[in-house]
Amino acid sequence: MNTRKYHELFRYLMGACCLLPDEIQFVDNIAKWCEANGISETDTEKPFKLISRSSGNFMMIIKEDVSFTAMEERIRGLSIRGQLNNVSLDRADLLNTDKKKLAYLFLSELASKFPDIQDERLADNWAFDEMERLGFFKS
Amino acid sequence: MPTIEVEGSKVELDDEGYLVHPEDWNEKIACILAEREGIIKKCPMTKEKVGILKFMREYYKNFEAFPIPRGICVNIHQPRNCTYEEFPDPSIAWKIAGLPQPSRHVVAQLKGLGGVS
Repeated sequence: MNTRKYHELFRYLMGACCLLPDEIQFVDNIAKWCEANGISETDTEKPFKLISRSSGNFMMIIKEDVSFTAMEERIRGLSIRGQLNNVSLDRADLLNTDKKKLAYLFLSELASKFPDIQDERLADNWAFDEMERLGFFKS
Repeated sequence: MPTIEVEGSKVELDDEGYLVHPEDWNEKIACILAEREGIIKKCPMTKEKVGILKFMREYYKNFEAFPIPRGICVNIHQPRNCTYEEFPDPSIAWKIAGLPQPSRHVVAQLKGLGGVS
């Protein structure tokens, strides 16, 4: 999937989280980009990475091409973590469009930057709360 | 017109306690406003509170808008509910940050009652 098609979605999400909408950069490979910029990152398929710039602003680095497999693997992770809390509801089912999947991945990356979110389940919860607040699940 | 005294100088407030001249703002004034609003018992304020207020002022300066409370914390590297923990009423935070009195429409939005989308 070419994430550039969703540039406006990412700009919207940045603004909705009080981040500067223009602080987005598309790259081929986030791990390589990070290595070139002296940032630690080993996940070569990582779709999003929020970095702190020297100006104090955050910038979201976005993998330009996210494979179906890489995306589904991450959504499956959400599904497995969710089963630890509630086996009757799989929140992954709510991510029924590419737009929602990307929004979830974007927001969970952002959530991981909070100092009190050290656990992927907390990041999932925060991301879903935000998606709910932003109207992603309104029918 | 009500005033508060800060280091020997008088600072004007409007009838609802907003700074008449937002440019008067500094951390000492914010602290006195926070005491008046019952947010703290005694100065100084914690660095967490000051961080939130400074971000709000910077955001307002850049965008002439109030930052979404949930969005503030990540920007200032604080826990995800920092605004609600430090300033349970965001409209009071706005006042302590020395920003101009918001419209009723904006206050409703700040309090989660709808308003500008």
